[in-house]
Amino acid sequence: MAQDVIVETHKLTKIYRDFWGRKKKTALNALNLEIRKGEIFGLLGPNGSGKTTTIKLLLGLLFPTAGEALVFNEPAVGVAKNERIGYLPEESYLYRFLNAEETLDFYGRLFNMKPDTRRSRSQELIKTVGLEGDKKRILKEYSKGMRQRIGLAQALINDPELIILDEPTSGLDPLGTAWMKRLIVELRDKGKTILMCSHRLEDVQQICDRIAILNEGELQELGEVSQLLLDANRVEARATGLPLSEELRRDLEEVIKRHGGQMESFGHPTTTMEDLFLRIVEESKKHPGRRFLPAADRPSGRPPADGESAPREMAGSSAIKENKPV
Amino acid sequence: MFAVMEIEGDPLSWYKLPGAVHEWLEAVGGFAVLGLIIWMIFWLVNPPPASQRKVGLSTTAWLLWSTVLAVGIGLLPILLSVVWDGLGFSDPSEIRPAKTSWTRHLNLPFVSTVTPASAAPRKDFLYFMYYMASCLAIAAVLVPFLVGVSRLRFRRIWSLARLSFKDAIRHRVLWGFSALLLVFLFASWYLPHKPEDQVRGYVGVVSFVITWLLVITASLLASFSIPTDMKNQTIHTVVTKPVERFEIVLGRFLGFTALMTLVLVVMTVLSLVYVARGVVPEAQEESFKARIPVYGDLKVQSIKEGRVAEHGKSVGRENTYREYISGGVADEKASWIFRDLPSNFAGRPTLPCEFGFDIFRTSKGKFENKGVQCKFTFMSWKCPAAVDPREEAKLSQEFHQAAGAEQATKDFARDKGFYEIRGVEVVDYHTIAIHMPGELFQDLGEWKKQKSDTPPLTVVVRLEDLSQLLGVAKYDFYLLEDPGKNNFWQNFFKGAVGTWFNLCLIILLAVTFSTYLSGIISWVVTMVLYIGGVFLAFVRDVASGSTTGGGPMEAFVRISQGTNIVSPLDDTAASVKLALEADKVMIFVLRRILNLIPDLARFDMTDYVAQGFDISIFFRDNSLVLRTALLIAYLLPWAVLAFYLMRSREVASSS
Repeated sequence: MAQDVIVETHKLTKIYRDFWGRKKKTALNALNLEIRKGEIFGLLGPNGSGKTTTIKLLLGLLFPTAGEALVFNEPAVGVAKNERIGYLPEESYLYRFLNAEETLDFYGRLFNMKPDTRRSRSQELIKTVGLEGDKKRILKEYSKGMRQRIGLAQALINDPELIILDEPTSGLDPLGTAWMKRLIVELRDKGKTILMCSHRLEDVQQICDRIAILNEGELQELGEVSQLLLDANRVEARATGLPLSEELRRDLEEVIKRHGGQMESFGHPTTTMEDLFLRIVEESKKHPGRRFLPAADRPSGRPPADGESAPREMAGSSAIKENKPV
Repeated sequence: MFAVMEIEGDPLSWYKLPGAVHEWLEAVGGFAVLGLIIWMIFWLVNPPPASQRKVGLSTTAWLLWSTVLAVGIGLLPILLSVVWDGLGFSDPSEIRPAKTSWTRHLNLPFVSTVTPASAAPRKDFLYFMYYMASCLAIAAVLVPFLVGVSRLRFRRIWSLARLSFKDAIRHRVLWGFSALLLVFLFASWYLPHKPEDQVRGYVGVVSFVITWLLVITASLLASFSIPTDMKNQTIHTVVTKPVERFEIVLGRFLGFTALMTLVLVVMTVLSLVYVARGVVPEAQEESFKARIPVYGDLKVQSIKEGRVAEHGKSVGRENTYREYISGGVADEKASWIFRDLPSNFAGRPTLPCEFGFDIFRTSKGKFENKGVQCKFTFMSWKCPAAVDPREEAKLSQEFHQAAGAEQATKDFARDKGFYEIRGVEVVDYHTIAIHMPGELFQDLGEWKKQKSDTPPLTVVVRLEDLSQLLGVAKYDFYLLEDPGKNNFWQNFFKGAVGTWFNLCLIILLAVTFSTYLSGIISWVVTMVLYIGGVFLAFVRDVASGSTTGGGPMEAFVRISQGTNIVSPLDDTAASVKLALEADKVMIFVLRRILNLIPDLARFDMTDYVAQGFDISIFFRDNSLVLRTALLIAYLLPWAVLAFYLMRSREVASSS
């Protein structure tokens, strides 16, 4: 195993059998994978493709039928490697009769952490995940997003080197999702290695360095996100400070034709729904009480009064709602 | 029977320890061999990938350490036997051969050197091979277990135990059963009873109710805990931490045991407070105490067909606990031989002894409900009759001639080692106390120094009344070591330890089964074993084929045909043949699983408390330490099984 490879699998196979030993399903077939130190690795695939099985094999929750899985150069079924791993399950399977402090204290005790370190780390994590005001409430009373946050906190209690996240943004609203993604990137920037499993392709695209795509237990694709998504047949150029005009379009078309290409579209690009949502929420926090007014009801030229919303000016806007084909 | 306990089995004794260890090794070794065979079959059918084999010991290390450990385990009974003999701690009833103690140990190790009952020599090579195979199998199973145990950390076990405690305390089943228990505790005080039975009845009912309700609560909590964790997947976040699987098992066990111990202590204190409210004088006299009995060995002699027989008569009862002697015949007697006495007997002015015999009436009428007259003869080691029974009659005559003055009888007891009381009235269902003069044991210290083979005390009981029969058993007569030394309160708490043993047993069994089975199946299997333990004596009888009326299927045929239990069946009938064959199969299976069933009678000390007998902590028979050792000996193999089951369990598997 190369020095910077944290997780390695060789022909990792998992076959589920019934009580009599008859084959029921091949969940994973001869998976060969490497995850390097300091990267965010995404595991994608439809339901039943073997993503969660892979994670469970790496964590020792399942035993391989064939092949091997090594984490920190030790067999995945071993216990010693768990000192350096944090795991956030898809559903936050925590003990609902404990509160946040008790939860982190319990999991912290399972590591070789000194009491002072454990206490200070618990408080720090509770603050980081934004549960300071709810730390005395039992987990049974938490919302889905809050449980996901405390789940992440318990995964980070031991300051792990490898963090395994199974559907980390599942059930979170866009704010929560943005927060989670930001945190994951921060962890990577601190030198952690993250393996995440997700159905949300836009999240994976935004934050993962490399991905693997599974389907029916077989590895279909593996590589860097930027390389895999690269569309080598197209060229894109973006500019600011240019008003849209027919003249501009003609000039650009001429340049493109001169270089042997063909313009496909011309116009303003669209932002993502997530960006739109986040911006709206941010603005509403800055202007409390402001409401949306349809354009017909808005006096023209008049700035919005307090309590009224202004027409939304979006960056890269929807003044032209769709890119016109050329 | 008042204040006389019916003790039907051999008591647990320290001198039997080497032999007990030997038998335990044989029994556990058999199961270890079976476990290894099952594991080998699984390995051959479904070999794990090479990566999994890297975790743990290499094959070479496993074989090497197993061999070393097997030799150590095999030598253990011999070593214990040597140490026991060196300490002089051997069975006082064993007849020693005329060899030195050291030469005894030149015999092959698998000869039980301790109890006469199990000392049938088994020197054949085949038995030696079986024994060594058992030791090797135990060692092979123990080596990975010990390696796993060396990785355990108490702080993690403690964390998991605290979690289990907090989880269990919020369960409604705990509070529901505790409330029910409180109702029973106080309600039983109002059950009708005779005055002298007050404490006895209350202790019996309280102990029964507390034990059963807490056992059911504990079994439910323990059976469903791990399966619920697996179903809810909360165990995933624990297993993915640096937690050994066995720590999860131990944490559950410790947590639930701590909780049930707390409940037991509270219930015991409450019931004791309630008892202390008011105990009537009759009950105080009978059982509100903690006697320390000293038992002797019983030898009964009767006349059968004109000749002296070295056993008592049978009166036709199914319960053969007691033997019977006739009245008015000098040669029919029951002798209690005390082979050792506590040193504190010397120097006491008098020594009490108590007894409760059964009276079998051969005629109805005026003798019913009346006592019978018995003669008690006490002979110390100084007494010539202790060596030659023919001297007894002569000494008796001399004694009664001198018996006019109290001092004279004391002098006679001191000088001749002889004391006799005639005409003691023995009444059914009553315990009677009589006193011996302390002069009988004045020089007891000298006897101990000499290490004489003559027993320090022999007590002979003869029935004086004609046409009656006196029923006696070993534990019907005892000396009292020090009636005032220990008190009822301490004994009550010691008796509660018996319930605690039951709780530890049920919790570990339930947790063990729950590592692999679903909650409800774990609970059912646990309760089947527990109830089997309650009726173990009967199960043993069935397994040995000694039940009257045959085995279960034969009994069914008899019931369906309306045949009584002693009439022979028509064994040419197909149904009868089938039933008899089915019984053979059932007996075969029962014999194999008999060792799986816990001997709960060994952990039940209710009678001790109810009848007012002290429970020893360490030195005497059936002490708490011995019972604890027995509990550990029973639970240890189950703990090892839990270790392997949890280690091999895929916690994320849906099956």
